Order: sequence, then structure tokens, then C-alpha cells
Amino acid sequence: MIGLRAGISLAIAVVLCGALAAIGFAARDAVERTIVPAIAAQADSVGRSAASLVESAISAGVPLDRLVGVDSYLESLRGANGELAELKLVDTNGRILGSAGAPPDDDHASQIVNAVTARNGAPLASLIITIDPGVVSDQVNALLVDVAFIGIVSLLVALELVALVVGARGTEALAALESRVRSLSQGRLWMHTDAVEQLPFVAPIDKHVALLHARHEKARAEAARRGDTEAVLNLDALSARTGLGTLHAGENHAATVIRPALFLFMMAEELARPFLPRLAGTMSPAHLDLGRDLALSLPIVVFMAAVALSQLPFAVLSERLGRRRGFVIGAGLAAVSYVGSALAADYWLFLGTRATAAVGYALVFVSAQGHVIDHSRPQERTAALAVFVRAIMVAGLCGPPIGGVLADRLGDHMAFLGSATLAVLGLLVAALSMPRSEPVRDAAGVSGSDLLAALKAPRLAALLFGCAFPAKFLLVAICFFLVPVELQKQGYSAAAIGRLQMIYPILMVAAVPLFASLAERHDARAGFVLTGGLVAGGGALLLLLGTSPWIVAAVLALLGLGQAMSIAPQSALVAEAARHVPGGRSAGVLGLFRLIERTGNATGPAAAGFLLATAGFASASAGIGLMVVLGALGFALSGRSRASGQDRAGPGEATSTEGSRV
Amino acid sequence: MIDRRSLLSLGLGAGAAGLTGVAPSRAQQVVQERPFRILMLTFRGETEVERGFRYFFDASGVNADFMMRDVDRNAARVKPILDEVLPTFKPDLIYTYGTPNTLAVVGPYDAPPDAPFVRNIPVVFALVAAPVRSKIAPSTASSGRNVTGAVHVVPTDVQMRAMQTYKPFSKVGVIYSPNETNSLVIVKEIQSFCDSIGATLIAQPLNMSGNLPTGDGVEQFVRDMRAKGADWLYLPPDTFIATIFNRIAPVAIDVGLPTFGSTEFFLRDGEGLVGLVSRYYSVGQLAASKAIEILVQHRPPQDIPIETLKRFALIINMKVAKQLGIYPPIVMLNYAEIIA
Repeated sequence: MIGLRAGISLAIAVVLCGALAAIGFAARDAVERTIVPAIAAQADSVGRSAASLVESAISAGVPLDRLVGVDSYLESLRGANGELAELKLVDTNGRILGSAGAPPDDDHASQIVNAVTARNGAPLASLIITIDPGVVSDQVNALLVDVAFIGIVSLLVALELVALVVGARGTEALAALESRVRSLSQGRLWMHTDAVEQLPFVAPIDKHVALLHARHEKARAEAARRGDTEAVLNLDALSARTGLGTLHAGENHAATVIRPALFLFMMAEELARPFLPRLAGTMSPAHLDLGRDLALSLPIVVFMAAVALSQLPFAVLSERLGRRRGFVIGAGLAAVSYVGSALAADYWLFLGTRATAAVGYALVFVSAQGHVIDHSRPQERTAALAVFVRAIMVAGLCGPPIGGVLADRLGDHMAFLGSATLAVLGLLVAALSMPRSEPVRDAAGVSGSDLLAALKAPRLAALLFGCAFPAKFLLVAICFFLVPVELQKQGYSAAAIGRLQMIYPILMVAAVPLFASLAERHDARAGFVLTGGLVAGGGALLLLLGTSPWIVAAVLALLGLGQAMSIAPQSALVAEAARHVPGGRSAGVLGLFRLIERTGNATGPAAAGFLLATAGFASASAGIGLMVVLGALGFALSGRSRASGQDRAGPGEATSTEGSRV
Repeated sequence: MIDRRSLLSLGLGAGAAGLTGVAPSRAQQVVQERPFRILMLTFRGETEVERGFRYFFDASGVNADFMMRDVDRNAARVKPILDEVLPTFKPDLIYTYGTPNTLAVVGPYDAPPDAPFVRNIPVVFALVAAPVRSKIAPSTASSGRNVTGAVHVVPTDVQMRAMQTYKPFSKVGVIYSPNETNSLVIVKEIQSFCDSIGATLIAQPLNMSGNLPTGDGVEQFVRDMRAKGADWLYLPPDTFIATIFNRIAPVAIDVGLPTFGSTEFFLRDGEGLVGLVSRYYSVGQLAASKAIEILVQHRPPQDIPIETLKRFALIINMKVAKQLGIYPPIVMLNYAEIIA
């Protein structure tokens, strides 16, 4: 039996996929009806202009059999018109005067013939063009791929929006009802304690179960008073079998409450991924001393650096402000900054708006994370943060392709207005759905001495500097900077770049839970961290073989796969390390972990920009990949001297950082 | 090899005589107490350049009296003309044709201050190929003195690439006057282009008689060049070569050596095969636009940059192509002007 919420999600998926399939088929049909004649018309116009050029050569006095450069001319036409398989100029005796390409295997390939005539109309030659039938199906397939991508993205967005539309309370009510019905159907008569307030659907159930509990308790007390051991044993067995007398905590909904707001806000930033380097390129002043490639990376560097620097102070600030207020202020600041980015014509002003957007982003992130941690018990935290992480990952998945389409249609600057709109929506949803802020006056932050103490935790330094730092460095440098810059140089649209950038989050969303459970089951966290680092870093070395989009896609896939392997085990190892820090200063470990990851984020694009300018795309990427491989090997070596299989620790709070894409 | 798109980006094509940015304008009413007096010093009689120059004045509604004086291919005659005309005609501006005339009027920019050159009358030149190398101006951005003008030559490497597009070469010959600064400059530029593509340059200076070149033996130079395996004969914007081209072209056709002209003259008035040129008429208009800036808008010549046209014309002499049996690649016919 599937749950109510899963059922609703499935229903949405079925409806949406059905609609998309219908659109896909209709589009396919429309394409075949419109593209085929369009291609024929294009071939005809190419043929006519080529024939008329030959005519003008002849009328200028060039003899037909002395025409020069016909092959290369026809070849250039074929290069400019991919749908033409073969072009040839044949005289009236059937002699080929020039040709380019080769006839397709398909016997049904259509031919367009244009006559070359003398001034008096006498036929001299024919220009014959054969259309490549494969091009038509290629175009149709490209369209279907587009539809499929739109399908995935809209499905994910729809699923996220279910929570928003039903409302946090509605979702909670559904979840509460679902958990009760499910336990009753399994013969469990637990008391559920998850309802925040009395909900209309579940109150009658709770009332009756409570009545049962009261009767059971009363009966047992009576039996005990009478000294009826048999009755007491029977009642206890009943209790064990049915769960009478047991309190069930149920799911935690702290993350569910914040998820829609967080998803909307995170998507605002993700929209800019595919076109940010391009936009920076058009805005950077020509005389900038930094060099062009560094100028491209600077907006990302500024953003990441501002997030990194804000992280620690904002942990305290958001507690003092209260989580909801922190979220709202952060989202507001970011929204204003996005509008600023949209309007800024000056490069430096643009950088300024990126920095303020980063400050808002950091405040939102920390507040949302704080909300989840505040409202969940330690044993629920992993699950709650997984929901939180998913919202961010899905935003990372949907944002770039949508942003790419927006940028291609409206222009890069205007696409930032899309970000601003999403940030405002996130703000409104957060204001409406998050519980009232309860500011904490004496919130204490993480001090420098906490960080230093954390460094002494066993194996932590090797983990942080060998794995955590290079992982973020690699992600931001390659996925967010080098790939868009390179593909843009190769002439790909922002939408196409956005689609390629989806590969990483798709693999993350799909594979993180799998690898996390595998790592736990086989007690091989360090092994997974090491393998993940080798896969992700080694993948980047592929770029030495070439920089075609397929290779880039493979690199991004290996990056996603490698990081999916390492990210959860890495967080668990950090949590484990935190437990070994003396004096209960585990907060220092987490602070240090975040700081190092975010430093990787900030330095990644800067270093990539520098490397790109000095070594080129392939070498820069491969160099960064090599660093990751060496870091992972360094981590592996650091572990050889220590006993493996230390006691297992719950991932606890440490997982809280992995969700951040920045 | 250049395809059509890159040729277009070099400023070729687009049909008519491309003269961008210097369209005459009557928008502003020109208030003149009297017509401007302009002395025009030509080198080999009146050409299309002067006609373009005067047309531009007319079309702009600027009244001017033009006094035409020709040096008949000898720049030494400039001095006596100036001595005679300046005191009586009192020109507001002097127009000079070609490098020798211009240098005879204004001298090199590093001439001693007491050298007898014109300094107090603005000078606008046309048909100077290399004003910087011939020391008319230290840079094209500003002459730093009372001179500006219009350059007519298409950049040498652009010409070389057009030549290669017509017919690839590994050896190119050039005949030039060793006393003409701009020819020397261009020979050097061809040399460096040839070095960059691994081709050979056969550079043949004309014989000299005293300070002046002579055409003695020029026919034999052409035959020797062919014998040495030259694929092309390049004709630099050399004022003297133009005067003896009617002796060069027939021999070149006879021995099957295609010629590439750097100016319109070789194609319109002679039997050159092909050339990538600035149209003389347009060059005259460009020079006139600068003269009007000086006279009407009172801009000092040193503030007006020395410029070349933005668009060039590829001219093919199809009669010569037929005689040589060397036809252009058909793509060229998309943008070339054919002389039938």
C-alpha cells in the first residue's frame, strides 16, 4: 500500500507525464509537418542561389568547363546547411563539374534540382541537392529531448509545489492521518504525538485510541492491584503486540514546513548558473587588469566568498533574530540584490549586487537550517535534514535549465528579474508558513579556539583538506564556471548549458541515499569517501581527451556519481570526529567543516579563472581533477596508520552542511 | 584561403562603392562670406579622386573655388607652383595628391623648423599609401601639425589574402621604384606576409637615373620573374609604376603571369587582372569630408585622424582573365566587380 502523500505525488506524476507525452507526440507530428517542407524550401533557395552564381560566372565569361573553386564553394554551402547531404553540379552530358558530400544511404532521400541556364535560356548544367533524411529525425529527436527535460523539471517543480499548494498544515494533517491509518492497518494502536494541534481528521482517531490506552492502563493497574499475574502478563503481551501504552513520535515536520519556501528561494539563485559567466564576460570592462577569464569568474568568487564569510557570524545572528525573521530579511535582501543585478550596467556595481545577494543567501540558508535543527530532536535530525537537502538539490536541478531558457528568451539581465520574483515568493511563503520567530538573546557562536580544537580531532584535518575542500572546489570550478564558459565558447545556448548542468544534481538526488545506506551497511565510510574523490577527480581528467559536449557530460556525470558516493559518508565521518573532540566542543568541528567547504567554493572559480587564462579549459579542469585525486589519496594514506572501524556514529548534525550547493 | 564571410568582414563586397560614415550632409546651413579657396596639386592630371573631392563639396553645399595645378609626375615642380600661387591665390586649404606631392608641400614631420615647407595653411592629402612610414605623420591618430588626409591603400595582408583566394601562390614578384618610400614600406610588408606563410618574394627595383626611376628594361624584369617561377606579379601603389604600366601589362599577359593591382588605376586604365582597392572617387570624398571639417567646423587638422575607407572593392578584369586563362573562384563573383 502506498501512502496518501505518495499517492498524490504519483497521481500528479501520472497526469503530468501523460500530458507531456501527448505534447511530445503532438510536437513530433507538428515538426514533421512543418520542418520537412521548411528544409526542402531551404535546400531549394540554396540551390537557386548556387545556380545563379554559376550563371553569373558563365555570363562573366568563365567557360563552363573552366569553373574554379566549385567543390570548395559547394562544400561551404554544405557546411552552412547541415540538412544537405550532397550537392553536385552536373553538365547536360552528365559530367560532374563539382560536388560536395556524399549521397545518403536512404533511397527515399529527396532531391532538389535547379537548372543552370545560359542567357538565352538554353540549359547548361543542373545543380542537384540531396537532402539528408537523418537531419529531420535528428531535429525531431532534439525536440523530444527538450520535452523530456521540461517534463522532468516540471514534474519536480510540481511535486515541490504540492507541499506549497496543500499548505504546510495540510501536509502535516495528511502525514498525521497517513501515519495513523497505516499503523492501525498494521494492528498498531500507538498513541501518536506528532500532531502539533488538534487536527480535524485525526482528532477522532486519537480520541478513540486514547480511550483504549486509558482502559488498558486502568485494566493493568487493576490486575496489578489484585495480584493477578496472569492478567498482567496477558495485558503486557497485548501491549507488546498492539503497541497499546506506547507513544509514537512519528515524522518530524520541521523540514516539511520550510521546504517550499526554501525550494523557491534556492531556485532563485540557481537560475543564474548557466549564464552568469557569460553575463560577466559582456559586462567586464575591456581594460580590466585581471584578464578576461578571471573577470568571468569574479561574480561567482564574490558570491561564494561572501557566503563563506557570512556563514559563521550569521549562525549567531539568525538565532538572535529568530529563524523566520532571519529568512525573511535574507530573502528580501537577496530579492533587492537580484533586481540590482538585473539593472546594473556597471561591472563593479554588478559585483556589489552579487555580494549582497550572497549575504541574503547565507542568512536564508542558516535560518532555514537553524529552523530544522531547532524543531527536531537529535534522532530525527538526519531525516529532517535529508528533506531539507532534497529541496536544495531539486532547486539545483530545476533552476539552471529554466534560467537558461529565461536568459535565451529575455536576455541575461532580465533573467535576474526571474530570480528576484522567486526570492520574493520564497519570502512570502516563509513569512506565512514558518512559526513565529523566538529570538534567542544569548546565542553563542563558534569561536576561533573552537575551530583550533576541532583541528586536533583524529583524521579530521586530512578529511577536511584532502576531501571536503577539494570536493567543493571541484564542483564550483568545473560545474559552475569552467563548463559554462567553455560551452559558451563552443557556441551552445544558455538553455543547453543549463541542461548539462542538471546532470550533477540529478545524480546527487538519485544516488546519495543509495550510497549513504551502502556505506553504512558495509561500514566503509572512509572507503566511499576515497572512491568518490577518485571518481569525481579522475572524471575531470577525461577532458584531456577532448572537450566535446559528450565528454563534458561524462565528466559531470562522474562528478555527480563521485560526490554522491562521498558526501554522506564524509558528513558522517565529520560527525564522528566531532564526538571525539574533548570538552564538548563539537560545534567547532561543524563550524570548521562549513568554513572549509565554503572556502573551497570561493577559491574554486577564482583559481579556475586563473588556470583557464594560463592553461586553457582542458588543462585547467584536469589540473583541478588531479588535485582532488591527490587529496583523496592523501586522506587514504592518513588513515593507514590508524585502526579502522571506529565506533559508528549517527550522522547527527554534521549532515547539515552537505545540502548547500554553495 | 578566405571565404566570402571573412572577405565581407574585411570590408569587401556590399556592392557599390562603400564609403561609410562620410555621406555629405546639407543638414547644417553653411554660412560663408565668400567661397573657400582651395589649391589642388595633382600628380598626373585630374583623376576620379579630385572629382570625388569636388562632388563632396558640392553635395555638402559648401562653396569653394578650386585652383587645379598639375606637377606632371615630377614633385620637384611643387615648389615653383607654390611660390607662384600662394601670394596671389591665398588658398584657405591645399589639397595634395600622392606621397611625393604631399611631402613636397609639408615636408617630413621631423624636418628642421626653418625648412621651407608650408606650415600656416591646412593641407589635406589623398592617395598617400603610408603616411606614417613616409613621415607625413607620426601616427594616423594625429599628424601633430597642420595636415590630415585620406589613405587609399588596403592593408597589405588583406590584399595578399585576396590574391591567395583568387589563386594560391608560393612565389610572388613585385616591381617597385626604390625612391618611393611607400613602395619600400609595402615591399617590406609583403616580405613579412610571405615569411608567415612560407612563400617567397621576388622583389625587383626599377633602374634609377639619378634620383628618378626609369622604365628601362622593365619588360625583361617581367619575363625574368616568370622564369623564376613567380605565381603573381603584385603592383604596389607606386606612383611611377603606374606611369609605365602600359609596358608591363602586355608582357605579363604574354608570359602568363597574373597581376594584382593595389589601386584602381591598374584595372581601369591598364590591363591588370585583379585588385582589391579603395575606389578613387570615394577616397576623394573622404578627403573632402576632412577638408570641410577644417574649413567649416574649424577643427584643427591635427585633431582629425588620418583614415582609410572602411570598405574595399574587388575588381576583376575578365578580359585579362580570359587572355590568361586564369579564372576567379566562383565565390569571388558573389562580391567582385567585373570589368568585362
